[in-house]
Amino acid sequence: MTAVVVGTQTFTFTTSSTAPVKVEWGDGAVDTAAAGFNNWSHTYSAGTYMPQAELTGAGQWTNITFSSNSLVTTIDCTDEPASFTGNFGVSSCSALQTVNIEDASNYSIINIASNAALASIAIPGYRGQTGTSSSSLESSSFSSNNLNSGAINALFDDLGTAFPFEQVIVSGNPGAATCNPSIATSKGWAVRT
Amino acid sequence: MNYFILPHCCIAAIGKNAHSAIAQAILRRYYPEIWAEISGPHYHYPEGHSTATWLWQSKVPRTQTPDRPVLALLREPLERFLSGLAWLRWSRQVEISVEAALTESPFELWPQAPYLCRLNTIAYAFDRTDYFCAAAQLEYPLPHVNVGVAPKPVLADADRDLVWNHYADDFALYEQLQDTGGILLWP
Repeated sequence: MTAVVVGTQTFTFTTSSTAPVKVEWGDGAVDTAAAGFNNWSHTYSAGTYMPQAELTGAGQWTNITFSSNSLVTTIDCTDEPASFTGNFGVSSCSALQTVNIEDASNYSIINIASNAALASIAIPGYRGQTGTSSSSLESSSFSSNNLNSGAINALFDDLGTAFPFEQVIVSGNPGAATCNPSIATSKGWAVRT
Repeated sequence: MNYFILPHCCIAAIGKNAHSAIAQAILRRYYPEIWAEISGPHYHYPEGHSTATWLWQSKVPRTQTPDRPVLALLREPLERFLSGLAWLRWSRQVEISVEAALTESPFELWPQAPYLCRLNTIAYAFDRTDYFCAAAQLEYPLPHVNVGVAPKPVLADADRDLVWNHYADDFALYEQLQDTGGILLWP
């Protein structure tokens, strides 16, 4: 997982994994942590950086969360899909413009909401959360971002065939009223526009 | 463990125990504004589906610490496990062994007995659903939602033993429930 960070404030995110994790912060600093829940934090000098987190042993990511982070502009997840079986959440990251998951077919729950500048989300193959242990049929939310109708339709194009009774929420985006929900409903998703 | 909130009681939200049907009945009876929203123009359903055929338990207000009497609809444990395993295999579209399912213990297979850990709980057997609905002031019969479409698995003897051991408390509770005519004031 790689991010692009611009600014001089402290950059934070959290991970959970079943393998040890190494974070290269992009300014020469490196941190490592054992498997389990980890709260990551790093303070940058002025500039643009590309921190990268990776597993350093056999295991899987079970959770990655960015919340209320005003520095991150781009998040790229290029892990092998089998290495991620958990929850991926991004919320209230005010500078975030792009989220790109290379292959989301094995992700359990994705919620990317309330990021005011976020104009592009790529989640190819995502099928929803029914296949998880804690399924309570919650929705996958992409609400209140800055997605226009084309970006929402591209997100719908990305979705895989839904597990039964999955719902995707795109309300609160500029393109919600003019997107084409049938792209998603034809693959078994219920859609909240 | 979650409990659906009604004005006069809470209902244990137990997977595979008419969970979806109860949720829909609660929304229609007690939360018409939520029902109206998910039936409105902003919701789009796959072909062949509508608000009435979708699963909306996530929309029912719930709590993990009920502050009023609890009603619980309980199901014969083996029957419930078979229903849960069939659902898992169908919804995930993969073959899951009995042992793997019990080890993972997804929501649909959580034991029922722990939901009765609180005072002022009334448990109802499945064949007393009419009494359950009367107490909850819900429509009876409950709506047909998410009725099982996958064939229920047939268990080998070894797998049946695993289920008996895993749900020993549930089997004991259900036997007690049968002894009291299908309605049990707990504890």
